[in-house]
Formats: sequence, C-alpha cells, structure tokens
Amino acid sequence: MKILVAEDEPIMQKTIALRLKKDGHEVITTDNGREALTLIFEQSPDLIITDIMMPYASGLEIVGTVKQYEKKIPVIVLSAMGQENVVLEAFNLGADDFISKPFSPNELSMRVKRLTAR
Amino acid sequence: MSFWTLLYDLFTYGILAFSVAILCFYIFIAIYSIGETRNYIRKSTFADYRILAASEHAPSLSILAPAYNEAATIVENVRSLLNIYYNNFEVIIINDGSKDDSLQKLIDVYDLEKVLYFTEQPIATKPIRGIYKSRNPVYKKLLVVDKVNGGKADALNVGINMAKNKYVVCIDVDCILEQDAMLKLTKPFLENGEARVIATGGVVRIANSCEVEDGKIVKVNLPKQFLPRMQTLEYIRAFLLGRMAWSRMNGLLLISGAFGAFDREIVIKVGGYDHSTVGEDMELVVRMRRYMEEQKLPYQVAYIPDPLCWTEAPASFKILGRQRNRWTRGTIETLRMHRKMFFNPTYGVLGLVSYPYWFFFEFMAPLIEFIGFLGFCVLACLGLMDWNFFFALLLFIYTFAAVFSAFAILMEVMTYNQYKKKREIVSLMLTALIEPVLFHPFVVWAAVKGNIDLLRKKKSWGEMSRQGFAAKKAAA
Amino acid sequence: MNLFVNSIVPTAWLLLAARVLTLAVAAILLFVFLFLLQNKRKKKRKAQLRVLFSDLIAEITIAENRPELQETLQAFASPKGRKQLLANGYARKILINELVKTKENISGQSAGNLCWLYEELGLRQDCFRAFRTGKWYRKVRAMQQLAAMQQNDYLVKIYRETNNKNSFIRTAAQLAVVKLTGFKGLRFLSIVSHPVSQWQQLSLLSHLQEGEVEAGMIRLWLSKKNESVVEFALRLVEIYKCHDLHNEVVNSLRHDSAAIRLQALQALREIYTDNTAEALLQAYPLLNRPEQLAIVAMLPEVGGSENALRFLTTLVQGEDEGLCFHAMHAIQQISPAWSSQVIHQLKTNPSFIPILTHLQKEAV
Repeated sequence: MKILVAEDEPIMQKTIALRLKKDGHEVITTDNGREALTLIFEQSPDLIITDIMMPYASGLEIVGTVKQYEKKIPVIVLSAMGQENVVLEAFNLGADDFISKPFSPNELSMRVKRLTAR
Repeated sequence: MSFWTLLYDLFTYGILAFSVAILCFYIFIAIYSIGETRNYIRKSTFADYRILAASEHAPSLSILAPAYNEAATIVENVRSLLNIYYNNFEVIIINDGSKDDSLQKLIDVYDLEKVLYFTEQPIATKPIRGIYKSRNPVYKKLLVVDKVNGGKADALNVGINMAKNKYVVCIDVDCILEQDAMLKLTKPFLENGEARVIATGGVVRIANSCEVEDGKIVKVNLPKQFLPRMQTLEYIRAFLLGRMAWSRMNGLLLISGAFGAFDREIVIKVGGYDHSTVGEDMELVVRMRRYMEEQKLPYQVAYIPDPLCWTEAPASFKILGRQRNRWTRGTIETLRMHRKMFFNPTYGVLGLVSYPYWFFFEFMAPLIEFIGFLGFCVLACLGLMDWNFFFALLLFIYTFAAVFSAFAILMEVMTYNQYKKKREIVSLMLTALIEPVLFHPFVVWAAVKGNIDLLRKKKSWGEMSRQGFAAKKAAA
Repeated sequence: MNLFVNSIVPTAWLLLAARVLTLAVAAILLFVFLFLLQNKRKKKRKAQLRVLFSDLIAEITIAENRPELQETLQAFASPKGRKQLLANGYARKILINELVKTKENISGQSAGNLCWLYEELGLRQDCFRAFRTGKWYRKVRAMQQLAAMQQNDYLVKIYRETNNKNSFIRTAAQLAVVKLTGFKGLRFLSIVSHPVSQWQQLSLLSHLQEGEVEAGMIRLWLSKKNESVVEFALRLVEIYKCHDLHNEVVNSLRHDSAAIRLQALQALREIYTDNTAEALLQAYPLLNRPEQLAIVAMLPEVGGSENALRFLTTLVQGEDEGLCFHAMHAIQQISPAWSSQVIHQLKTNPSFIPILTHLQKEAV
C-alpha cells in the first residue's frame, strides 16, 4: 500500500515511516500541508496519515479537501490536539480515525491494517 | 545686549541639556532592554506552547481584523488567519464600508450567508449593514461584519462588541502572523500573579523583500529598497533596545496597532477605541492603563520580544511621510487627552516616567531639533559659528548614532537573528551610516509637519495604498 | 560671543571621542561577523548530529523486543564508537533533547524502548549532574528531562523543589512530580505558598491522566487560603466530575474572588444535583454580571423548575438587554410553552422585538 505521511517534526516523520515500511508499505513523506495536498492529487496514495498543526495548511483542511474530492481515500488524523471539539471536527469533516499524541506506533500499525483491510 | 546673551545662553544650554538627557536615556534604556530580552529568551525555551494549543481549558480568543479596500489580498489573509495554531478562537473580519469588492470576494470564496445576530452594544458605533457566516463547516470560525465606513477605531469597536471571548486580538488584516503568534501573545495573560495583564503586544517585523507563500513567510530577506531597509533598522532599535525596557518597568505606553491582545472587559469598561484620534492604538493603551491606575488595581502591560507579525513598510517618501505625520498627530492627541498624568504621582510610573518621556523625547525632540537647526542656520549666516567645534560636535553625534545602531544590529544577531548573511549585516550598517543624512532629517520634517497639520486640524488617515506582497517562488 | 559648549568640552575631546566611537563600531561589527560564523558552525554541527541520532531513535522506537534493541544499538555503533561519539558533551545534550522530544510524542512499548536507550547510554548521569548544579536553567531542564524519561529515583529530590521561591524551578518541579506520579504528585498543593498561575494549571492538567483522583485531597485543597489552589481544585472537580464535593463547590460561590466563583459555576455544570438550581438562584443576587450571565446560561441544563422559569421571566422583563436576551434563550430551552406565553406578553414592547426576531430565526 502507498501511504502518505504528513508530519512536520522530522524525527516523528522518520519513526512513523519506518514503522509503516516495516509492515511492508510504500511511504511518501512531507512536512507541510500544501505539499501534502499536491502529493495527494499527484500520487493518489491508498491511505493518508496527517498531523493537524503543520505549515501552510492544517491537517483538518487536508481532511476536508480530500473528502470533498476523493472520498475513498481513508484518512487518519494523528495529533497532539486531542481536545473533544477538535476530534469531533475531524470526524465531521470525514476523517476515518483519530489518534492522539502521545501515541503507540504499534497501535498505529494495527489501525492502518484495519483500515486497509476494509 | 545682555538680554540677547541671556537668550542665546538659554537657547544653547537648553539644547545641550536636552541632548545630553536624550543620549543618557537612550543608553540606559538600551542596557536595561538587553538584559530583559536575553532573560526572556532563556525563559521561553522552557515554555511548551504545545500545551496551550492542545489544552481544552485554554482561553478562547476573538481575533478582530478591520478591512478597508483590501480586495487584492483579503482572501489569502483570511485564510492564513483561519489556519492559526490555536484551539478555540473566532476570526471577525470587519468590512469598514470598503469601496471595492472585498466583501463580495469573501462571500464568494468562503461561501458566506447573511445571518441575524443579537449582540449587546456596550460601545456605540456606526450602523452595521450585515453579519455573515459560512455555510461550510471548515470555515465555521469565520464571522464577517459589514458596516458603514467609520474608520479603523470604529471598526475595531464593532468587533469588540461582537466578540464573545474574554480576550480580543486586534490585528491589521494584511499582517502575516507567525504560526505560534497567538500562543505567545496569550501566554502573558495566563501567567498572572497579583497583577492582571490587561494588554500584550509583540514585535512587528518588516516583510518587504521577504518571500511569502500562502500567507506564510518562507524566507526572510533584508529589504532591497532603501526606505524599508531603513525602517528595519529603526524597528530593530525601537523594539530590541526600547520596548523591552519599558515593559520591564511596566511603563509601556504603546502596543503596535498591527498586532496586540487586550482584556475585553477592561476595553469595554474604558469605552473602546476613540475615533477622534488618529493614534487610536496608543490612546487605548494609555486610557486602559490610566483606568487601572485610577482604580488602584495592580496590572501589567506585557510585551513579547519574539517576532510575531510581519507587515509591509512604506517604500516611498510620500507614503512614509504620511505615516509619520499620522504617528505624530496621534502622539500629540494622546498626550493632550491625558495631560492630567504629566508628572502626576497618582499615576505611578505612567505619570512620572512614561508620559514625560513621550512628551519630551518623542513629541518635543523633533521640534527642538528643528529649532536647533534653524538656530544653526541663523548663527551660520551671522558668521558666529566656530566651524572647527561644530564639525567636531557633528562628528561626535554621528559616531554615537553609528555605535548605537551597530549595537542594535549586534543585539539582533545575538537574539533572534533574522538576518544571517554577512552582506545583510554590512548593508544594515551602511544604512545606519546614511541614516543621519538621508532619513533622519526627513523624519524630523514629517514630525514637524505633523505638528503643523494638527494645528490646522487635519483629521484623516490619508489613503495608504497597498502594494501587496510580491509572491516569489521559494528557491529550489 | 560666548561659545558655550567650548567652555565645557574642548574640541579635542570631541574628536577623540569620535575616534573611540569609530573604533567601537568596527569592533562591534567584527564581533557580529565572528558571532555569525560561530553560529553557522554550531548550527551545522547540530543538524548533523540530529540526523545521525534521529535514525537511531526511530529504529529503537519501533524495535519489538530486547534482542532487537541490542541489535539496533550495535548496528548503530560499537561500544567503542559510542563512547567516542558521546564523549562530547554537546553531542550528549543533542541526543538527550531528541530523545525527550520523541518520548513526549510516543506511548506504549515504544516509550519503554526510549527509556531503555536513555539508561543504556548512561545519559541519566548528565541529567543528575545538571540537577545538582546551581544554575536555575540547568536544573529546570534536568527536571524536565528526568520526568520525561520516567526517572523515578529522583522523585523525592524534585518534590523538595515544588515550593521553591524561584518560579521556574518551582513550576518545573511541580510538573515533573505530576508527570512521574500522576494525581498523587499534586500533593504539593497542600503546602505550596506561591500562586499557581493559569498557565501552570493548564500545564498540570495536560499531564494528568483520566480516572485517577482522590476526592479527599480535592476537598482539602478547596479550603486552602491560596486562591489559585482553590481555583485549581475546582477545575479538578469539573474535569473529574466529583459529585461528592457538590456542597463545597456551592459554598465557593460565596468566595471573595470572582475567578473562584466563576470556576465554581463551571464545576457545578458538571456535578449538578436536584438542589443545584435552587442554590444558584439563591446566590444570584450577590454575584456580579458575568457570573449572573453564566447562571442564566446554566439553568436549562441544571434544572428548569417552575421557580427557575419565574425567575428568568423577571429577568426578561428587566432593563438589562443582555440578561433579557440570555434569559429568553434559556426559557425557550426549558419550556417552549412558557416561552410562548412570555413572548405573547412582551411582543408589543419595542425594545424586545430585535431579541425576539433573532431567537425566532435561530430556532429555524
């Protein structure tokens, strides 16, 4: 599976990418929201994992935009902003899952498996 | 004969005393400011702003941005406001009766519809023509208010009335904010001890020649044009070597109109912005401080030295002149409205230090300098100049100014270091050397003209034309 | 003619001063260039180290068992290689920073891996040393790092600093103990004599986990003289929904501090009982406007009895437009029938019409 990871903290980006690669996925990474949107439309990933607080475009804007045009791509939001209203907003916009930081990479791996199995 | 000697002595010794005082004050403020800035930077490395961004209990903010004829850039500006790193906030754009299609652009892009709102009107304003919200849930934080033209102060008052949160942030709609600007601006309100923080302000940086993409500064460059570059130096001196010191003394009189946060309750208690002055940003802070002093309530006006906001500086003498003219009139009007505080111990630091400083060294300084210059001309014409002495004195003042600017550049490099290239430092220093010749006289003249215009009762902002930020592709 | 200043300051002095100042400008500029150069070098080194360490940390994070951890570390560098690399204090500092930064974002077994690496590479010693130093900023950083990497051995020493007069040491210590021991760490609230700022309260809350709470401790803190402690305790009541403390919270409505009264109202929103509405109505006349508005907004949730409806109706008929609006809103939520009655009575009142129009449009 081709997975896009949008995360602006370099070490987290590396960790998530490594974990997914270990599971056998192909991983594309980016550290800003605008590039993420470009990559989504250019490369059509099978799954998107995005942080919320990123330069240029927030993760929520990515969720909203993706779900408007490409409803089939599952989106997992992975963010430190785990307040109830943020989580609800993410789901309202169409996110398929929300993981709060601090998170477990093993758990992320499981959730990715579950979503891609569908 | 002796009368003239007396007058002459008074004149010359007076100017001397004034000059010595101003030099000493500059030195004192500079040293005081540095210590405080270094201290602040050290402390802020320990602050985890993520906590504030991620906390459910963080205070909600109302961001107010008045807009007048900003059609060229308003859509992008609003977009970058909506993408701020913060959890709970609303963005209120107040369209101050724009003559262009600013409002229509917003309605089209953000899918706005007119809604009905009842709000209390604690501050009297010009009538509101319509209130708009977006049908699209992605933009639910946005509120657009269309009103009859009434000026920036009036527009902000409308925003304050409509704001439903405890803290209001007043910004210029074309200001580019750093993404964590709101977090840093809000923190002082939460670090309350005994003293209630009533307002906080940040540093405004100059965005000319910077690369801007999607409402964010991608690369910081020193302005290529002379005037903006000159103003950069000016701002570095004022912010790094000035404001921090005032803040430490709790004597800060001015929060930049481009970006500041206020405690809404106090703003309403003092009646909001005053639209009878062109210096409404300074006047509000002074009035809020005065209110707290009169109520004998412990309070603080906080200042954050981090660069939080980027704005376009005037690039032509004409527009710069208008700006400085307006600043002068605003200063005088504010000083006049609050003259009760002059050397009045009831008002503490405000009355005994801040107000007199502004009166003598901000208001009177250009006038005294101008009079001094006239005096010089007279003496020169009368053949009474000791030219050797004069040039020595001139050289001394010139080199003193150069050292001061060099010191400001040093401080910039040792604190926030926005300009890292050697060539930029050299450019700044050269600018500092040209300043006394090309820039300073112009500024003094603009201030003098401001005084004259005020006496002739000119009350307007003048039209500030916008160049828009040059969108450059970031270097690959 | 009298050449004034010449009599005070000779020309020669001015020229000398000008020369000195010119040299000063040159010296400052030289210093600036050197500083920039040094900065550039430092940044480059830092970037190199970060890339190097991030690879190691990422691999360690996703390792699944102890042997894999050992293998990863061995693959990164031999013990000799590690010793060489980490002989440099700056390198160790960067590594600790990166570890802590990652640990803050990671939970579960992976978090344990990071703590293992921290201990295996002997980085604890750096933090212990820094903690014992005199400089406040080193101590603060050490406490943050020790707490992040779950080093419980230093808990007692850190706890001693929770009432330190230096606010940075104090707040860092408070956060560290809560991070290490959860709710139990809040014991310092019983003894702290300095105010706990809003910022600090938010920070503490962000480190508290769900579920663990001792109502008895909160009851104690609600009676403290330190107002910020009371305020924080009320926040805890709100978050952890401590119904047992209902009466104490109602009592707080009579506190001198407006901030505490407002916080008490927020807490009551979460722990209300059948008696809450009555208590609110009784307290109402003694409170100031923001608190009164809060009560009006709360009434639909906490208990819309007929008493409450009558009370709200008096507000609607009152002079205060804002209260009138919110009261009408509340009545609408509690009882549409009652609301229709009120509207019928007041619809001829011109000042009521804008409110009515708004509420009707909102209901659509």
